[in-house]
Amino acid sequence: MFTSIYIITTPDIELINLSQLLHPQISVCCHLNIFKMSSMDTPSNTLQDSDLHDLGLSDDEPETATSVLNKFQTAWINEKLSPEILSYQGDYVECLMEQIKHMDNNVRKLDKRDLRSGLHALELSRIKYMLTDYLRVRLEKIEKYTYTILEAESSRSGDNLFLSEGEFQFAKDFFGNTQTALQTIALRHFPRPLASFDPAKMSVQPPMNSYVFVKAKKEVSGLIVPTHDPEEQDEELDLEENSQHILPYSSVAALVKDGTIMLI
Amino acid sequence: MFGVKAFELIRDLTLTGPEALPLYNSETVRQVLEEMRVLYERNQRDVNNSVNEDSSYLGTVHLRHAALERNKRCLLAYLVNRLQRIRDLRWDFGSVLPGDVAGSLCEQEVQWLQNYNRHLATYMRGLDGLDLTQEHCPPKSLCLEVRCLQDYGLFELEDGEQVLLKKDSIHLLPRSECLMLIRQGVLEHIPH
Amino acid sequence: MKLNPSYEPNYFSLEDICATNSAVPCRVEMMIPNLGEMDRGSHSEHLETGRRLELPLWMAFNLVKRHLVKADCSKAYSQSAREILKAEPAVVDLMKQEPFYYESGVHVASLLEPEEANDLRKVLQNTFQTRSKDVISLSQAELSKEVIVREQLLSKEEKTLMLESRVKWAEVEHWLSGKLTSRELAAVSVSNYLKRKRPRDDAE
Repeated sequence: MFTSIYIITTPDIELINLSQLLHPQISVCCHLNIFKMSSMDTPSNTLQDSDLHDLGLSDDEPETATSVLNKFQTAWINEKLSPEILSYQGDYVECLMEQIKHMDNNVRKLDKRDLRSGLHALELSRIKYMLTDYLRVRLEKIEKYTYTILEAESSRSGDNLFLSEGEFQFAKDFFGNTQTALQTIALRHFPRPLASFDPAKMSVQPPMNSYVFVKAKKEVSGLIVPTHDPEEQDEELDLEENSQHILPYSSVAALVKDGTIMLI
Repeated sequence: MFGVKAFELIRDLTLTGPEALPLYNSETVRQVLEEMRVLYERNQRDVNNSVNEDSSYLGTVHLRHAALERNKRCLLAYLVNRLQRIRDLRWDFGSVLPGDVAGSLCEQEVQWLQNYNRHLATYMRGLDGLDLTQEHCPPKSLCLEVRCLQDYGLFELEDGEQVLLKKDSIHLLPRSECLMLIRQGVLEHIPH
Repeated sequence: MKLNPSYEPNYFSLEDICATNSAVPCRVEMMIPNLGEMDRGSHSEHLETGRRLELPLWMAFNLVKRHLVKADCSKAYSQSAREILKAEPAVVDLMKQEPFYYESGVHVASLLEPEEANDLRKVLQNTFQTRSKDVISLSQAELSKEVIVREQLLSKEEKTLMLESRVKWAEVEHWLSGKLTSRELAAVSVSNYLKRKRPRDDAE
């Protein structure tokens, strides 16, 4: 009964929710544009790879500042464009926060009239933007899908958690706070059988069937894409490496999480 | 007809854009709660009647129950959507809402907002004080040319320099330090 | 920033609550005692079998499921309305018929016999597909009298999409034009607030 009209009417990809089609593209266009620029005008001593050899993020190959930045950028774009919350990139976040502190100090040391000071400061504010935006998008999802996210998180084991400690605490606080408000204004004045919050009916789910732009980083074969028309069979797709597609998020959610494809 | 009052609450919210917060409608909320109380009482009575082998009242009970659920849905949706808007206002205006905006909130909503501010602050403290309410657009330059829209007074920059923000005066200010004032409508960005 | 803008109704969706508030004509199949007050055309104490009255969708769901009433198509979705939509989907004023035309329509379909329900669902789907081309072109069109008139025919769902994509087109154009500096703006709520406030300040 509660299926979305936009989804029901989407067998023809060309005609789906056009804001969907446009939204990811424009946002990514802008962001990629910025960060391409930043790699060109990065002053050589801001993000020197040699400063950051072996950040301990990976056992086999040492991570450099640039590779951390690149990987975090992918994580940020995935998070921004995926309807559900993805696993928290704690290592990258910490690493970037360290970097920010480090660069902040460097910038302060430079003479204000030095041209480099401006460039460094700009680079710094770009990294800060990326980081705050990443955390902000996650916070928004937590606020919107609180119950669903808390439920999912409590079923995960210790080494497979999706939220940071701070986020988990915030989610619990936010849920409790909202429950208290609803209780005091409304629920406790309701006739008793109705006076409860019924999660099965009331929890808000992310729109998992919304369409997303994806790019395959590796070859994928036999991807099942469900159609919404009960008379048609599910489609089976092969994605070539580096090919781009528009697909319902639910069909590629697992591949986004394991890094086989990325959202664009 | 049942559920009419409850729908008035929903209409309150749809008549304005999603970024506005209409005055909390305590009178209608009270009326909805009263309608629910009456519906429930009558149902209790009819349920007792049907126990005495007369099942013809079941239809009545189901209909009233649907009305009870509808009232509940409208009222909770009213409150939840309001909290969502209050949250958005907090991100736009900063942690203290201007007096007449704050006046649209009921007491429990004010309480909710205070708690929200506290929880958000706790979360951001865990991030080494990174302020998530800043930097809403990708930065493209360090300084912004801005026009002052009101007499704001002296504004101290991070490096200790002081600027007098007078109505209609134009300044070149560090981006990070004037973003919040732009969002709050004190300054206006003059793009190039 | 707005999260993923696609819409899926949930318990708290104002849109869905509005869509389920629209009325459908129903016929009482089994007497419902004590609720005669709901039927303005009758003086009976009860809702009598055979009476016809309009009920909001949310109530009809429950009563149809229990075979207490039988629902019919409201005028906006009737056989003749569907024929018009099949013939000329683009020119129908959906907003006037039913503001949330598609969402209410899907709900109405759930009350009907399978054959009619399927027909209605197909019509809704085809109508949306045909009209969405119009929605796209409207979102790109320069504002003119004609555009405004055409906009008024859109249902709420179409209007939302149109406005959303109009904003996005503007962003694409801005980006394509190569302007690097985007304008930092006051939050919408804040600027509306100031607009409301300023004229009063000036008057003082």
